[in-house]
Amino acid sequence: MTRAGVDQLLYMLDRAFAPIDDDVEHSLLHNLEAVTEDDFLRAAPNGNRTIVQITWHAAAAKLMYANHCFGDGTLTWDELFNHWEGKPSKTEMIDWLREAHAEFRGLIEPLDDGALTVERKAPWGAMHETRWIVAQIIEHDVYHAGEINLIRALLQDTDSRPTFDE
Amino acid sequence: MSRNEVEVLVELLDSAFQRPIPDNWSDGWHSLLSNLRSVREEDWDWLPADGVRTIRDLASHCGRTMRVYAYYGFDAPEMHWGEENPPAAIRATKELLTPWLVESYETLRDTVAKFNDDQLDDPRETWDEGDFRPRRWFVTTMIDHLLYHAGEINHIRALAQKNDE
Repeated sequence: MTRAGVDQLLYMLDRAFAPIDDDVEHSLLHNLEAVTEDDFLRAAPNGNRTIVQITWHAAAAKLMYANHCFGDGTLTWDELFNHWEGKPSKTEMIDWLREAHAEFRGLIEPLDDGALTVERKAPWGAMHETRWIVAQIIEHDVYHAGEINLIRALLQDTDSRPTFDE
Repeated sequence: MSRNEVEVLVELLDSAFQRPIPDNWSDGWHSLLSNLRSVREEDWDWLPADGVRTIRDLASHCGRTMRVYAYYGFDAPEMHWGEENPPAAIRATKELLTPWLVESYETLRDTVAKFNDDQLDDPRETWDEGDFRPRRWFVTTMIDHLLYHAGEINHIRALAQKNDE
């Protein structure tokens, strides 16, 4: 049984989460690097969602998808949002993110391409193909990395256009 | 010739852009078009406090980048940085820009879909002389790029509409 499709998804999953080689720009952890501990607890001016809340959501989603799509489906968002007493530091949150990523990734790694079209139950109860579930986590990390970048840039007054463009 | 990897990449690209076809297997929460849908025309040039990039800038950048990457990575029609692309008239409104964005996406998608897995590691020179990257890099970067800027667009829209929740 071939694994080319699974390996491609794992590659995308890993680069969405953390820098691979010199492909660093869009990953979640890369976009947290320039976030200070103070900014980590803040929202954009006139915004409501803080960087810590968005990061929390990214980690919790990995654990929810892991448990509901591949496990016993008993984990709840409330349990995950009560994971911390008070607000975690950026370092603590990154450690939790790494654990969550490793847990989700570890469930995809043993699969072969035939398993990618097997339907699994998403956290909200609907059935989706495994490839769709993996794609959601890939997209989720990068999408929220973009949001984090924008908040950080506004807080640090460094929003700018790419130099090679325009 | 295996095409498993190419098919996965094309599916991820479809999902990141949300091509409006019935069999698209993503609901497009994170896709560029989904996140542009709730942008009002008055949000198009709105700037958050201390912000520099508008939603118009980001959407134009996404379309332009897809065309440049399609050319350098996959032999699509020639396109370079610095060209006025899209023309100013098209950038004026979301309604005008969206069809051009779809055309940009189709240019990239259709050229990627012509290749097979063995060709994904072919080295291709980027716009920087002497900088070679595998074809795979051009499409994986575009998938991430669309999603990343969709997230930024969503955040600017939420700030503009005062509903960042």
